[in-house]
Amino acid sequence: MNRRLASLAAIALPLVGLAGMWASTEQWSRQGTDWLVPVEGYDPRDLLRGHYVQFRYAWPGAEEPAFDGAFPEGRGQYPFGGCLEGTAPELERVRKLISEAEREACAAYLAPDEFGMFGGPDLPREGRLYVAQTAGPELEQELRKGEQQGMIRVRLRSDGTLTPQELTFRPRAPAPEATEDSPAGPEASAAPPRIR
Amino acid sequence: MSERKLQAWLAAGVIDADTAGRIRAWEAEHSRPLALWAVIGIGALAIGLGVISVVAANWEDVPGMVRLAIHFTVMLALGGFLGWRGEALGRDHPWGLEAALFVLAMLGMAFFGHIGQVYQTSSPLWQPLATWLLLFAPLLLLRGQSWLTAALLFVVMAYCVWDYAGGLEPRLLDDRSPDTLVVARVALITAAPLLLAPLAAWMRGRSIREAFWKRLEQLALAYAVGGASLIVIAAGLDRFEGGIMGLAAQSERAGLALAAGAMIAWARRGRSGEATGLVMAGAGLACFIAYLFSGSQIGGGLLFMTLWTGIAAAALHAGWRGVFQLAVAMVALRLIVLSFELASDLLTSGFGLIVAGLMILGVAFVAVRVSRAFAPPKDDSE
Repeated sequence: MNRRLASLAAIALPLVGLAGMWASTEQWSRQGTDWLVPVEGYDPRDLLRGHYVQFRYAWPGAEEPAFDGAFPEGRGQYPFGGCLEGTAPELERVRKLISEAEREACAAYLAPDEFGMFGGPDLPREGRLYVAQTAGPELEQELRKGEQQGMIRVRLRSDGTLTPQELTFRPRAPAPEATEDSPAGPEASAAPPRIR
Repeated sequence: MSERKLQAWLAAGVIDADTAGRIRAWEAEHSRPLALWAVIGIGALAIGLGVISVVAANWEDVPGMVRLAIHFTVMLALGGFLGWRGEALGRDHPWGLEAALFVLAMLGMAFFGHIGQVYQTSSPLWQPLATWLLLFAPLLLLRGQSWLTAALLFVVMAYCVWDYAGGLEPRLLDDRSPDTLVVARVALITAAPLLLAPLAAWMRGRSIREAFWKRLEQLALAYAVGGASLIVIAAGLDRFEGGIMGLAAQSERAGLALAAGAMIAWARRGRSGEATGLVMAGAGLACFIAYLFSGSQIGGGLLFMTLWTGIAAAALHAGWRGVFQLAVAMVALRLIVLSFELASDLLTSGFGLIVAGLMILGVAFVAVRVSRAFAPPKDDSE
């Protein structure tokens, strides 16, 4: 009888565990604030292959330093992460946090990745969004149609973690400087295709 | 049973007419309606494939929650079936139970990926694998019947520990600041799968599922010997400085393997248990000695051959034919490689090539002779 009980418990354990994991992920996914972040593809032709889209965040005000072969100390490093500024979901800029106190004070804190491109803690630079395979061609066409800026809606939680939610497009601002300072234009809501 | 074979055996005088008659009678009584089963099987397969392809074709359009619910329901149904009929299934059709366990465990693993896809989460691979091990290892250890579940359990465990170690790599390979604690932790965790061997050795005599525990023990032993061989080969190539190849890490491996070897020999009395324990301990010692010899081509080569000669001796002691032959082959191969290493400048001349060729033939000849002459008789109780 004991054997049978142990056996039943062993069968129940993974099922209960997986159900619990599912429930906690569901709950976790509902928390947080949504922000719109401009993104760039790795390569416009490769952007939409397969089951997911891979992209690079173009954090306004905290662009990636160009890699010139050297790893100077302190370069591209955000040990305390960044602070998103603007009125959610419209992101104006990301401010570099330089102390624990600043992090406490920040309302929309973005946690750093432990190992960035320059070996130290850096803002998250790369992301991945799972999409339906059938959505690929539509997205690709949209990208090719014109000067479209990819925007990722991300959900930022109080612990600073980030989850991509959906990919949308909006017309690119005329000059690159303008994109950085005010990505939100009046045309932002001009019926962009939404892909989840 | 083919009638042609019976006739042939009759003609050769291997069996007499009486025996042939009894064989025919027994076969007739025990014949199974294979054709009928095949038709039923094909029908079931067609329905199953049809259902899968209908679901798969529309999979992308199904909302994430529904997909997860379908996935979970399938697991729930399979788990319920195992809870309800598992005992009887294990008694009558152990392979059926084995297959059901394997499918349930794989569905569970896929569930992690599925959740990641629906909720757009991502994490290093070792995390879901470790969670999977926590959730499924008890079930597989309690109910696993044969090599399929044993291999699944062991491969996931090995992959998990190495993925974990790989994630820490920047800190492990950093010569300037090798973090002692991280190195110690990685050495311990990557050697941990060895500990399944004493557990399996202990269970082998105490469980009715001997096949499962035997395979698990073999896998853990193969992991130890394979790892030690790789470390010894690496020692022949380069001097071990620090980090995961350093003295501390190798000592840790040696200590763990020695302890595991002693436990195996204690848990499973008899020649086979002794030999397994000795091989395990020898693999650990080889890691330690590899550190001392590292950087020396000949030292690495000799150590490799010593390790495998020891394994051959253990195989002789326990009567493992296959292992003995493998060990002889490994020693012969290393000898051939060593001859190339030592005479690399000779190879540029025609005479050197002839000598090398003769050497290879000689080694192969001796290896085959040794293997034939001394290999223990065939016996599958390894």
